[in-house]
Amino acid sequence: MQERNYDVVVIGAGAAGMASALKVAEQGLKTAIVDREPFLGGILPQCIHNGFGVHLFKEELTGPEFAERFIQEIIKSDIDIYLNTTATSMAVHQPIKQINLCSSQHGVFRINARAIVLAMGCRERNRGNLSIPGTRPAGIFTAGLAQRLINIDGYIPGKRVVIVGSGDIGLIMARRLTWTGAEVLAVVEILPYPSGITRNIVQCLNDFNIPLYLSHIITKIEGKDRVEAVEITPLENGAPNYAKTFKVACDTLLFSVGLVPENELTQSAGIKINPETGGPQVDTRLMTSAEGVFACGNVLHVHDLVDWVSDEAQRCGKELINFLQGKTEKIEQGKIVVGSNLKYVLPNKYRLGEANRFSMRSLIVRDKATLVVRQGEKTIRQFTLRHVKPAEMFHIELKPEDFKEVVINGELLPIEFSLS
Amino acid sequence: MDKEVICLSCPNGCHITVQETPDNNYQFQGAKCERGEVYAYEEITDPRRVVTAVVQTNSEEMPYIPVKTDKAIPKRYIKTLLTELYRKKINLPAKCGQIIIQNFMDTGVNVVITRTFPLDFLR
Ligand SMILES: Cc1cc2nc3c(=O)[nH]c(=O)nc-3n(C[C@H](O)[C@H](O)[C@H](O)COP(=O)(O)OP(=O)(O)OC[C@H]3O[C@@H](n4cnc5c(N)ncnc54)[C@H](O)[C@@H]3O)c2cc1C
Repeated sequence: MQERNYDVVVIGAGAAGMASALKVAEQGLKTAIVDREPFLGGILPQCIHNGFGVHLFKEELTGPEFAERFIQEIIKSDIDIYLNTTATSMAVHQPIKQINLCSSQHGVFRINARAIVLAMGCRERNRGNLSIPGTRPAGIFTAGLAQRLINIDGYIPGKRVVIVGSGDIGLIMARRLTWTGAEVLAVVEILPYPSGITRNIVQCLNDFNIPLYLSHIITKIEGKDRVEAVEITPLENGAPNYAKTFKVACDTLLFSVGLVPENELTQSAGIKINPETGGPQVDTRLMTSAEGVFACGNVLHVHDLVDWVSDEAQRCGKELINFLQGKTEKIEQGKIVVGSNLKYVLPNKYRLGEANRFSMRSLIVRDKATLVVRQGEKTIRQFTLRHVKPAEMFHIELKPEDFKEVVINGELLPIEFSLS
Repeated sequence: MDKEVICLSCPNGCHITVQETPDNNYQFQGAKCERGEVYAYEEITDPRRVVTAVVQTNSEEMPYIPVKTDKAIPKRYIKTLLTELYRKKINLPAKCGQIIIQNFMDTGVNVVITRTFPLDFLR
């Protein structure tokens, strides 16, 4: 088997992979980036709508344009690009890691590297994850797959469409389908509020008078060969009220019901997963439970905005360099505890002597929420947040002077975040 | 009468209340930046949207290429624009930013390509 040697190998060439690869290659580290797709950019090339890069580039770009800013840099750099190449397994628990790959050009081969960046993105939850009763006809897609079919391959998946879930991808697809001449009959959301941002409700639904059914669920899918109709039922006091079930005739059903980090590769290498995020557990260096293996972007936790993905990826690149230079090989880190009303806090550790940036998601919808940060019994910081909801990740930064160096039983005193 | 407009200039989505004053002017409340006021004025007098789509190409490797309007276009032109785009066929190679329709129906809006293909074109 052919073997190749690098300092760093980045798995996945989406926004996260490209941004982290550029950061490490900048320092002269010999870097390879691999992706199973025939193109660079990950999910971005199929997101042809605008709304990307407002924070990072201070202008509004489409997905392909955003990707191209990075692709241009990658092509000019010394990074070796392996497309149509899938990472199939890896051995990560020794200083030199081995990544097994398979590609149309090189066949089965191996890369040896001193460090790995996991940047495999996420995948969509599907009908199986929801267990909706009914037949199993053709015409059922995830929203992202439909997006790819229309925007990359040029196929229109159907003419009369019902969308399940009001996340941004589903909303964007409602407009996209309408603009291809299809009719979007309903968007059905189980929650009492939409999951997508307001802007998308306005420009993707209201602009076309597409009805949004909040607190409703799909209770049946009908059709033998192709979807013919769905039954929609309102939820009242948390239970479906079947007396009010109504039927919508349609030929296509799209699911936009959330994303899950893609971590089969990570798990099979024996790296620890955080059950709350679905991504690997990471410390303040964005390093996983395997020394020298880092993670960033949607593979780590699902991001709403690509700007935050690139941001995290650049930070990941910097940490990787520091690690390889031996600057952070042994640093002291304290635990993070996730308190009330928070789904998760990332990273899962904090460290003294510098600013610490945390990403988190709320479990509640609230205006003017208060985030309390405690070290032991003592409140060390308090933040007022304008608006929190589960669908929007938020970030906070703690300053070096916020932490006290309190050691109990040889460990730094944990920091707890809670929201009210 | 007050009207509420949700600003689409950026993902913030500010809720802006627009009040028409007796002298036929407008007053705005709730915008976090000046773009919001410009947007709210336009949304009331002449609503516009940025349109994105894919257009057919002559290439097997990349049968469709993404495009966008370089500015928001008055809503009433969107249907005609889409019809024209779906009729078009573009010869590759093409570069991001390349104009494929200039000044569409005298709106001052151009349609540009948003993806370079093939990538050697970037070097
Ligand atoms: C459908 C969709 C629409 C979105 N719309 C918006 C939006 O409007 N605005 C916005 O700001 N953000 C949007 N986002 C979010 C944002 O675009 C993403 O969070 C970001 O692009 C993710 O980047 P990533 O690099 O983490 O993952 P991805 O872009 O998914 O890249 C991961 C890459 O890893 C590759 N890969 C996976 N496993 C392997 C393996 N074993 N071997 C080799 N390669 C592998 C995949 O092929 C893929 O190319 C959207 C996300 C999705 C999914």
